[in-house]
Amino acid sequence: MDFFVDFFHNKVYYILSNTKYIVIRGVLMNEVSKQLKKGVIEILVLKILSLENLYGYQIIQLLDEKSEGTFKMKEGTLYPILYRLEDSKLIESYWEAGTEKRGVPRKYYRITEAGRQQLLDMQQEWYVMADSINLILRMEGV
Amino acid sequence: MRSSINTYVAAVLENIAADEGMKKRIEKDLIAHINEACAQGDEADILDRMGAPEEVAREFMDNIYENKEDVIEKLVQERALNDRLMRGLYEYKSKAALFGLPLLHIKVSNRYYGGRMGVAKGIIAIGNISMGVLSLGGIALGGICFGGVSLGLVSLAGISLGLLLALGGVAVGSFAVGGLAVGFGAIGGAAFGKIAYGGFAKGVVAIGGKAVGKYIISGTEISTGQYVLGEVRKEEIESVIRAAYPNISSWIVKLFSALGA
Repeated sequence: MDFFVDFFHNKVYYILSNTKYIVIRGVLMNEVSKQLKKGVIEILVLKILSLENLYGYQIIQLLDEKSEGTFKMKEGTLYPILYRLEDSKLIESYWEAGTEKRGVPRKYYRITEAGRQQLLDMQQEWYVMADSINLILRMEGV
Repeated sequence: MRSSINTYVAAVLENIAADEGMKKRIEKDLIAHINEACAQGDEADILDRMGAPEEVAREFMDNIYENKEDVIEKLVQERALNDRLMRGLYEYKSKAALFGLPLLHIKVSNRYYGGRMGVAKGIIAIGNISMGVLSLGGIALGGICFGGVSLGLVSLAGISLGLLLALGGVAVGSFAVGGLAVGFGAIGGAAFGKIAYGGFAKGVVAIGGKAVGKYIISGTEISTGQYVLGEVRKEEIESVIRAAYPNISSWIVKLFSALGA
């Protein structure tokens, strides 16, 4: 098994038949986990927006920090999700003029009432599904 | 906003196959996002962390379209549009018709890329060559024409031939207005006609800086080859036209006399 260490980004890549593995919290994360993560990002974005109005850059930072590096999201992943949530009226956005020296306008996102309801539904579904998956994964014999 | 950020975002957008609305959305968000990141770090590091614009574009494409069919559909649309614009013809013919002609016919090709000339024929015709009641084209023929070169009853073009009225760089018509105007009535830098009004005017009636004709109102030569037509009163213009053409319609007289003071 080949591997190389990317010191700059603090990652280790293991190369197994052209599949890219990334070590996060000591666990090898591959393409499968990438797809798994994709499926749950919407619920996570809704969750953090239910706590506070945030702009895109903050969402990426917060998800990275709170998940201890598991959810390192790229711009190309986050924004299409925000667009889908916005188009579904689960969140809404507004621009605010920058107050700091740079004065760059920021686009904040806030959750809507429909978004809060959707979050509750998704959370319930998640718990049911996670429990069911765990039940099966812990099976030792049929 | 820094130009390097704009350049980076433009490169990302170049590699995204999406409609203009989506691209605008991404552009605004990405610029705001990078600016925000740059407020907390070095710009070069931020752009390096984000990766090559092609990678960012791929990530967007991967997430904008939830399934492969959507991407394929978008790429096919883009390819077809590109083909139409770059090589082939773009054609639209309205179903509604009048006197056997479509109400609107658009037929345009980009000849630069080897396309054939699009000839549009309709009540309203738009094409490389257009023929219609209202006609817009490189070469426009018909009733009211706008084009590079046009021939019609009323014509506005670089080179304009109008049976009734011609307006253009070079205008030839019953009534012509242009840089070079030739007509029964002509108004222009150089005007030639039965009644001519211009910097240089030649006609039966000629009114101009330098006027040549039978009935003339001419300016004065201020230096060699330079003529200036001073203030001419409306009544003077009217009387000189009436002297040449006593039975002329009064609207023609009024039209020319309106040029006077």
